[in-house]
Formats: sequence, structure tokens, C-alpha cells
Amino acid sequence: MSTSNSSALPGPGSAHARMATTIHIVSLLRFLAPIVAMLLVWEFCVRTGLANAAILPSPSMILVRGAELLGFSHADHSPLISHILYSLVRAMSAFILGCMVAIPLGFLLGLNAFAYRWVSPIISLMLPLPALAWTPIFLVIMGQSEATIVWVCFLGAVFPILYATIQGVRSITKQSLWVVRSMGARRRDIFFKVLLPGSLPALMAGLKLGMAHSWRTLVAAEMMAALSSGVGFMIFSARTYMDVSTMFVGIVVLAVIGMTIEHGLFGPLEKMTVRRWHNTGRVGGSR
Amino acid sequence: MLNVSQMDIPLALREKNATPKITARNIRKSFGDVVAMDDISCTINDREFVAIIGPSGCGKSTFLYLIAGFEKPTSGVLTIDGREVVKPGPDRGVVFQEFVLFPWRTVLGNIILGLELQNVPRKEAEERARKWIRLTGLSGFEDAYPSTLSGGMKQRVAIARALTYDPEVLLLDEPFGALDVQTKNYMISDLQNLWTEANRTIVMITHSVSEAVLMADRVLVFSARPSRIIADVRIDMAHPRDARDPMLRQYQDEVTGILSAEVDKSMRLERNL
Amino acid sequence: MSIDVHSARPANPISLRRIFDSIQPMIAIAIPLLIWEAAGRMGWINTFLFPPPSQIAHTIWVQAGPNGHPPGAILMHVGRSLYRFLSGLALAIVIGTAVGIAIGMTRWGRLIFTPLISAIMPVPTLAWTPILLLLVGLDDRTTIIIVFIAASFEVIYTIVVGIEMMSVKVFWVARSMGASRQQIFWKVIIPGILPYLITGTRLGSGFAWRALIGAEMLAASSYGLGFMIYDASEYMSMDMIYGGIALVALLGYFIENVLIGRLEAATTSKWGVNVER
Repeated sequence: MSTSNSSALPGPGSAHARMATTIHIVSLLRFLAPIVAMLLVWEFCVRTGLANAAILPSPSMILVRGAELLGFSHADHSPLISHILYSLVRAMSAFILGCMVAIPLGFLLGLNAFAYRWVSPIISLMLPLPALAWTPIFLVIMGQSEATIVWVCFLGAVFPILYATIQGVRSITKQSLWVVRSMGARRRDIFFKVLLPGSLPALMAGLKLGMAHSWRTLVAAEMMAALSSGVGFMIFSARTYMDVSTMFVGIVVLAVIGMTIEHGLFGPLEKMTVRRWHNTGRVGGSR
Repeated sequence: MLNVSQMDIPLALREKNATPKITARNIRKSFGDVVAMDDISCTINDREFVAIIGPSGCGKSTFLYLIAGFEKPTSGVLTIDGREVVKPGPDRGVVFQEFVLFPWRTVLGNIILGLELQNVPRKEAEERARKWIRLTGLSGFEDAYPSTLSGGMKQRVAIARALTYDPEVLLLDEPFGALDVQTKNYMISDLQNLWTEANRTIVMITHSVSEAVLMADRVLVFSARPSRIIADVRIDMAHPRDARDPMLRQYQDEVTGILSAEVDKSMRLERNL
Repeated sequence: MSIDVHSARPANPISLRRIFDSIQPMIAIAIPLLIWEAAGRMGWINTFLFPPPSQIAHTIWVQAGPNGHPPGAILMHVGRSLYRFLSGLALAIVIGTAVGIAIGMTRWGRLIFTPLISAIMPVPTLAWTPILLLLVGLDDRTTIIIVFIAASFEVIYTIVVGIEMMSVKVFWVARSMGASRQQIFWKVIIPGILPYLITGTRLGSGFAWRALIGAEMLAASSYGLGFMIYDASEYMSMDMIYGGIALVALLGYFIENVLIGRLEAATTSKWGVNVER
């Protein structure tokens, strides 16, 4: 759940980034060793019958099922890929919808003290509320449908982004605005040259969190509201057949996609902006 | 060193064409029911270096913000070149104690920001920035981000930024407050050189008597809140000054004497709260 | 920063303005509810899909009382959710602290746990629900494990950060006073990480509460707020759904900001530690 820091667990990896390739490989092996060891123990337990393979399939069985679902046997149709695409489209639409609502609203609330005063109590009440709790309402209104899934994920994404935007805008000091105003800046300049870049560190963190919430909410929403597709649906429907291998395939897929979104999408974005400005990569004030 | 006549020239010049630049008439400023300053009147002449000193919390920064146009006086009139101050403008450059650099802009990016906002073409802007980058000793750091700089360097950037867009008045709000002693001494002598080079009107807030006496033509001493001007000390010495000059010591003692009486008063006030 | 006069302003006595400021957040929440109520009564909105707040409150009140179905239903839902939540959280605190200390203090702990955690953390917590349902069964244990998973990563993370923030000099001081390893552990490390543990618990509890509601919707057979609202959607009982959501929000806010938030504020102000997140 703690997506804001999934890469930040202090450990190998980041510290070794600049060292020679050999050291790189060693650290990679060191990183993989415990994971491989755990998988081997797991495999061993299942093979020797210590664990019931029907309930807890071995990693090799999961791998085989993964290959089956990917559809290596019949190249024209891959059920797994189609589930993944469905899920991605839903999560992304919810995220984009969330951005379109949360970012403008966040700037408005961040800049207007009166609006902030009257809206922030509602936001702070909504923030700890799990987006999934809204699912029953959407189920009643729209039934099991795409719309239900996307709206629930939208609610998952919108509040973290909104909150982060407000915090970002409010973190900009009065002095920063004074500096540009004393240089004769117009409203447009103040927005594009101070407010936007100044709130970007927090905004970026919010987007990351919003996307992660959207993705994490999606899985459960698909379990409840999807009719025939999506990774969450795949996992949940496998339950009917006691098909635990498929469930584990789903879990691996979810983890890989989650990590790809965070490191592949937001990692470079952060490197280009926030991390270059703030030497340490830490989100700082306006100095 | 310098001969007498040379020493006297800049001072005499200033005395001769002493045209008022900033005039404050009966300025009163209150925040809610707290009166920050009461009936402040003074005139700061063109190309004069004025230091404002006073006990902490006396509202001397507020006075600077009034000149800058960030805040509005509750009553009274504040004019620059005879025009009333209504809002901030590029005729006044401000340097804050906390530097207030923009972390997403490089050193050069920060320095040319003022020109950029006035739609000066990039080439020309960089050209004009060069001079101040050189004079503030920032050459070679143009492409560095502020987060990589030391406090002294950051303050240089802030000063260069304020000078580059050519404001007629430079407002310094405790510019050395966040620096360590060594850096501060360097910066003080640098700023003195810059002043002779830039030849602007400078208003500097400080809480250090030695700083004020060393650099300024006039030292205005503010009282504890609600602040008034309790002394206007003219430092009749030529620039650049030597910190060890016994005459400077005398001025320093004079200002310290006035100030410490005030500080005592404000401390008593604080304790009663 | 700009106006030092503000901070020096003497403390006002209790005034009308102060009273207004303290209840203003509640007014801010009440206004939309009143509009909703009015719109419902005037017939501007569909009162089946958007029953007015008074009706929702009434239903919840009845269901919490002896005439509920079963009697005291709401209390039992809330109680069951809290039981699962607190059990899972307690588990996360104990195990998370142990793992956090192992990672922060020992080489082998770091080598073993860091990769495993990085591999498991990206999995959406609720995705484990169907597997746990098969492995553990349809009882409280599944939801408790979900809460545990959701909360433990934050606990571990903040404790590792806490240990890293600890100055080596603190250990030097303790060692120079002749402290044994055991004494260092109990008298230096444990008190040192306590504020971080509290912060980690607060952050983790937010994730855990969210995960619990989801898990109850997917996995609870009876009772629990998540179960209650999901069950209500099958009967299209909108009152119960809205009431349940309100309870989830209020309890979530209460747990994170009041219960643990107060504790955190008390310790941070006392020790002057501020966990940067």
C-alpha cells in the first residue's frame, strides 16, 4: 500500500548506481538471492508434499500457468494480455479523469484562502475514506459495469492528487511571490514561473500516489464489478475453480505493472525535474 | 592610501545633489489591533545607503515591505520620486534574508528572471547578467542549481538577481542574517564594492550595529514596537571604510548606546507578555 | 516569517471569533448536508438514490438500537471491524518492529528482507484476498492478515528510517558509559525508534483501514462495515450504504487523526522529533 516509498526502502540498488558494472551485477545477485531462495524453499515444500499443491501451487506450476495464460500455444489470442490491457485502460482513464478534476481544483483551493477554509474539512474527511466504500453506490446506480470500475478508481485517484496539489501551492512562500512581483510579473508569469514549478515536487508525489491508488483500487473494484475482463476479475474468477496458480500469476502481473508505472513512468519524470532541482532528490521548500 | 581631497569627493557630491528618492510621511501600520509602527517620517536621498536598525520585532522589516509595496500602510504616505507607492515594481529590487531563490532555475536562470519577466530577449538578458555574475563572483556557477550552493553563494545570487534588472532602489532585508561570520565579512566588503559600482539607493535592514556603521551613509534607529525613528545618525566617513578605523568605533558606540536603551525597553515589554 | 509582529501578538481571551474558528470545520461539513437535505425534501433529487441525510441518520439509529435487524446491528458491524483492524494492526506493530530493527541494525536482516519486501510491496494488498480465502478460509483471519499486510510496510519503513536517523554518537555516548549490548538495545534503540514507530503506525493505520473495508467487502461472511455496505447494495438499501460510508469515514478519520494523531503530536512535541515524510 505504501507506494510513496516502495523504492525508498534504504538498501542496495540506489547506492551502487554509479559503481562499475561488476559491482552492479553483484548487487543484483545479492538482491535476487533471498527471493530465489524463498522460491526454492517454496518449491521444495510443495514437491515433498509439505504443502498441499492444490491450495498452494509451486512456483514452477505458477510459471507454467503464466505461460499458458500468455498464450504461447495459440499465438492469436492471449487472455492474460487482454486482461492486462483492460485493466490498464481503466486505471489510466480514472487517473486522467482524476487529474483533470483535482489539479485545477487544487490550484483554486491552494490560492484562495476562503475556499480552502470551507472545503478542506470535507477533503480531510474524504481522504481516509477508502474509494472502494463507494462501490456499493455505483453498483446500485450503474450495476456491474465499466463505469462503476472507472468511477471508483477515479475516487481513489482524485483525493491524493487534490491534497498534494493544495499542499504544493500552499508551500510556496509569500516571499517567492513577492520576488517576482517586485520584478513586475503579471498574473500569467506568476503562475507559470512560480506557482507551477514551485508546486511541482508535491504535485509529482501526488500524481504518483494517485496513480498507485487508482491501480490498487482497480483490482478490488474489478473483483466486485467486472463482468468478464481485467486482472482483478481474472484473480477473483479463478477462485471459483480453486485455480490458485492463476491467482498467483495475477499477483505477479499486478506487482510488475505497479513497479513499472512507478519506476518506468514517474522515475524519469522525477529525474528530469524535482531531483535535478533538489540535489538530494528530497522534496524541499522554495530555497 | 587615499589623499584627503579624493576621500571627500563622493561625499561632497552626494551632499550637493541630495534629491529625495524615498519619502515617508507619518506612516502608521497596524496588524489587527497591534500597532507595528506609529508616525514614521523620513527622507532617503538618491544614491544614499541607509541602514535601518532596531530591536528585534520592531517592525523594521515591515517598513522595508512597505517601501517594496508588498504591504500597504494603514495611514500616511510613502512616495518614491514623488509618486505614491501602491504596488511592487521593477524600480525596487528586494533581497531577503532567506535568499528566496527558485530551486527549479539555475543560477543564471534565477539572475535573468527579472529581465525575462520584462520580455528582454534571452541573448541580451544573459549579456546584462554577465556583468553582475562577474562582480558577485559567481562566474563558473551559471549552470548550477541553487540547492548545490552554500549560503554565501545563494545570497550572491539573490543580490545579483536584484541588481541585474537595474532597479533604482535596492532593498536588503537582513541580507547577511543567514550567513556565518566569515562569509558575512566577505559579503560585506563585496557589497561595498558593488555599491560603488552600481551607485544605487540602498535601504538595508540589519540588527548588527557594526554592519550598519561600516556600510551606510546614514543609520536610522527604530524604537521598540510601536516603532518610531528615535535617531538618525549620519556617518560622515568616506567609502570604502576600514572596520578598524577608530572614528568608526565612535559611531558604533553612539548607535549602540541609543539602541541598547531601546532593547532594554523591548525586553521588558516581552517579559511582561 | 514576514511579519514578526504577528507571532508576538498577545493571546486573546476566548472570543466569539475563536468559537467560530473552532466550529467552522463542522459548519463547512454541515452546509452541503443541509443542501442535500433540502434538495431531497423539495424533490429536486431522486430520493431513492440520494436519500436525505436525516433519513440515513434515522436508519442508522434504528439499526444501532434494539429494533435493528439483528438488534444492535450497527454496533456489531463496527465492533467486528474494529476488532479485525486492531488485531491486524497489533500484529503489524510487533512483527513490523522486529523486521524493521533487523533491517536497520543487522547486515543479514538487510540482505534478506529488503529484496523480499521490495518484491511483495508493489502487490495491491487486496489482491491477496482471494488467495487467503482459499488458504485460510472465510473467517476473521483473512481480514486480519490483510490489515497486517497493509500496515506493516509503513511500520517497517519508518523504523528503518528512525534507526538510520539515529546518530552514531548516541551509541558512542552509551558505550562510553559502559552500556552492554542489551542495555543499548533497551535504553537507546527502543526509546529512539518509538516516535518513528508511532508515526509508522499512524500512516500504516490509514492504509490498513482502507484495506480492511475492501477486504470485508470481498471476504467477510457476516458483520464488518465493509460487509454491511456491500450487503446493503444487494438489497439496494441506500440508507445503509450511505450510513456505512459515513461511519467508515468518521472512524477512519478518528483513528488516524485523533487516536494516533494525538499520540504522535504528544511525542513529537515532547521529544522534538519530526519524522519527515
